[in-house]
Amino acid sequence: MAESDFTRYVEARTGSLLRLAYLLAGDAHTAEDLVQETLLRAHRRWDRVSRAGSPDAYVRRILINQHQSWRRRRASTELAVAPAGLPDDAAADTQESLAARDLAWRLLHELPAQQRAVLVLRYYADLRDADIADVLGCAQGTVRSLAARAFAALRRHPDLANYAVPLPTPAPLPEETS
Amino acid sequence: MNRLDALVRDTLDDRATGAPAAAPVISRVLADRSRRRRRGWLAVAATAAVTAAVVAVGVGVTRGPDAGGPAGVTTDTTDERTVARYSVALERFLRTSDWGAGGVPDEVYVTIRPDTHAGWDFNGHVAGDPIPADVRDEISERLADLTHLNWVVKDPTPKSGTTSEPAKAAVTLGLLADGDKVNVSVSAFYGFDNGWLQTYVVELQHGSWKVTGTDAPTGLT
Repeated sequence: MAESDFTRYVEARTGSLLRLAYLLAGDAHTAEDLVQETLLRAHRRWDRVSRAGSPDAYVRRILINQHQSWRRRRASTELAVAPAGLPDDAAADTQESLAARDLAWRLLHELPAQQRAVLVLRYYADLRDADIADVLGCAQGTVRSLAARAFAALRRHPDLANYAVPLPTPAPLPEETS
Repeated sequence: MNRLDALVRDTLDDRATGAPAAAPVISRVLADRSRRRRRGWLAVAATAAVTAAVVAVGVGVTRGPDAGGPAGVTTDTTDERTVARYSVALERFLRTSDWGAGGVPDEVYVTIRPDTHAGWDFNGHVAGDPIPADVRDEISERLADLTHLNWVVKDPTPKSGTTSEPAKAAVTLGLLADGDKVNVSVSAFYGFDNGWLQTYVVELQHGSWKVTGTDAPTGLT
């Protein structure tokens, strides 16, 4: 195992993973635990991770799976997400858009874990649907369906009902036949 | 009109700034990594010592009828192809099956012997050789983030009657053929009389195994 490779990876990518984990989990402590556990799991199989060509994709997959697993196990005790602190430049924003973002943040954390993961990977990590499908271990059609359901859920809130839904992405070639 | 995807993007960009600092996590990961490595070597050393002691006193290691390798001998090669093909099919099956509101069960029982039709009784079925222990371990490891796999000799789910026990999920894998494009069947029983079967087409593409389709009809009772 290339320990130095792993060390370099941890030093370079932990910040990015923490931001992803924070957006998924909604609180800083869980995000830290999630990233720590993810990186240690990646370390155990680093030979395979580094052979995979894209360690980021592999590690993100561990992180998403881990988050979903934790969320499932904690579902019965999970508390509502407390509003996080506003960014420093928030004052420059209009009250209206701030309120909309507060609301969107709260609603994002009421979505099922997979729907939230799709939105975070698509709109924060800027992954293509094919890459999201790879991370989640599902078909691209499922990714599009999860995103559509997530947007439908968000729009059910009266304050977001007037927002336009994004245009659907072009369908890829069929992945499965049955 | 405002766009919902733009709002989601802006919200996520804003909130990402609230993520915790990286430095403490980096320190903990690198320190914990070192501790785990040391524990690993201690475990290896302890195992070697115990094995040596057993050999020295001439005590044979008994082996259950369904254990993976020869008695007392660790299988020294993992069949990567078998691991990969079963893993991708099993993961797809577990993720896409309807397990009810709770999602994928936290624990899944997998029969160690694969079976023609994955145990589904289409004009009879025949069990194959047990999946070797190292292959089972590697499949479990690959799916560890999804669920815990319990490898069992016999499917523990009741097929009739009633019980107050929580439903158990039991899975049987199909036999594997050779080649870079194979069918991998997976079946499950869950609760009473709930069973389903799926056969996936698994292909080697650009160096990795992927589910590229489904083949046999899905059986549903």
